[in-house]
Amino acid sequence: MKNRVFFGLIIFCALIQSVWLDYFSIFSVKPDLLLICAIAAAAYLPKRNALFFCFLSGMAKDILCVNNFAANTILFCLWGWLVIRLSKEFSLEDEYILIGLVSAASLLNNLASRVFFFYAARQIPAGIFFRIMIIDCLYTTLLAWVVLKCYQARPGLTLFLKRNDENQDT
Amino acid sequence: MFKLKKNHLISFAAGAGFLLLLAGLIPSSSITLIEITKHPLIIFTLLRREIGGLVFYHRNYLENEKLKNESGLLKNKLNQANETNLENSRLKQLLTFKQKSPFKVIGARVIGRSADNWSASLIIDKGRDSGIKRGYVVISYLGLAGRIAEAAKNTSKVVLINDPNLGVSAISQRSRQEGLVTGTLGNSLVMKYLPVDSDIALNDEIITSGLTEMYPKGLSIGKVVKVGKEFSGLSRYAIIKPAVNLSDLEEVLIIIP
Repeated sequence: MKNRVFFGLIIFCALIQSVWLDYFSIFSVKPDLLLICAIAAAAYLPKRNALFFCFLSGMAKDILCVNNFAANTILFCLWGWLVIRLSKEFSLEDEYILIGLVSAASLLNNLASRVFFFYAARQIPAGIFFRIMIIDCLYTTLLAWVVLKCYQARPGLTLFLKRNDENQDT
Repeated sequence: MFKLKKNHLISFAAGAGFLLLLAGLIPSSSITLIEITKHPLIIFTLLRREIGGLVFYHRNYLENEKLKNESGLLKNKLNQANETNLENSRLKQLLTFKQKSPFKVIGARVIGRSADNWSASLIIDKGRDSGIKRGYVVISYLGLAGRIAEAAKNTSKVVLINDPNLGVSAISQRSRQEGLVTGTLGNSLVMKYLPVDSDIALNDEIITSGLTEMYPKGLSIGKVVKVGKEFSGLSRYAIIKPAVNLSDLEEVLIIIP
């Protein structure tokens, strides 16, 4: 059930990001909903499912972009894998850790995208790059915080996810 | 902190390699996959329009009143332009100049935008089946909008003129000064490579020069809002406000050569 919810959520977020988020852009920069979905999947789901949803998020973003195909797919899988490895070292229950992970993933995603641009001979001036990277990182982090607060404020949803976690553990 | 096991590295490298292979050998896979998203994007765009109409009712009402007044003025200007055009045709015939044939256009609806912040692009609801191919120029009623980057069967991706990787050769309508217009991923464009002594001034109308392949000459790009000197001091640049409101495009026209 959780997997179906996540699947629907990723498709919904991809469509929202492509069609509606322009209304909420700041200096023509919009937050990365799909990255938040990927990090959330890596933090809350079992390893295999999490990597699949990271792949799906990255693929959805690549389909709706004009950039190098599969760049986001690879990067989202990489961030998902790193979050899974981190979750084995320490607990990700704390909201600040999750927000920090989203922030770090956003920053690293933008920096890594720059490498892909070099590969594809796409030049973006340094001033424009830093402007977009900083605003994207801050905006995505802020949105992740809002989403997390909404998620925590829904006790029914939390209980549902915890119950599913217990079922999967047994 | 991380114990990178060999198996993990091998499996990740294999996965990444497979994806890179996929991206390299099958470039049309992204074009095929965009077809799946066409109808969901159309539904979401329609919803956005309806909700936008309700939310921005008062703004739309005021804009409607303003546009009604402007349309009367424009009708007069159009009549004058028609007269000038007819006179032009007659004079060209007299001088036996070759007549420029008007270009054929196809209309398309914008159903989505780029999901990332690193490119300025649109997704439209027409593709190869409508005769659209990669490289075709996209305009709106107000001026130049962009170029077709990918064309699938029933959808296409358009790179807008405010993408930094799209350069258009342009001239000032007044002084005929040439330059290259590129984007800033924002609401303005930059006209670069202007000589230090170039004749470019505020409010100059910038149009396409016809030197870039496929771009017809005379398409409006925008107006100059600022002129400055490059850091090196060897050339100047001009900031241009686009004629087309790129953040609010809902319908576009594709020029079929």
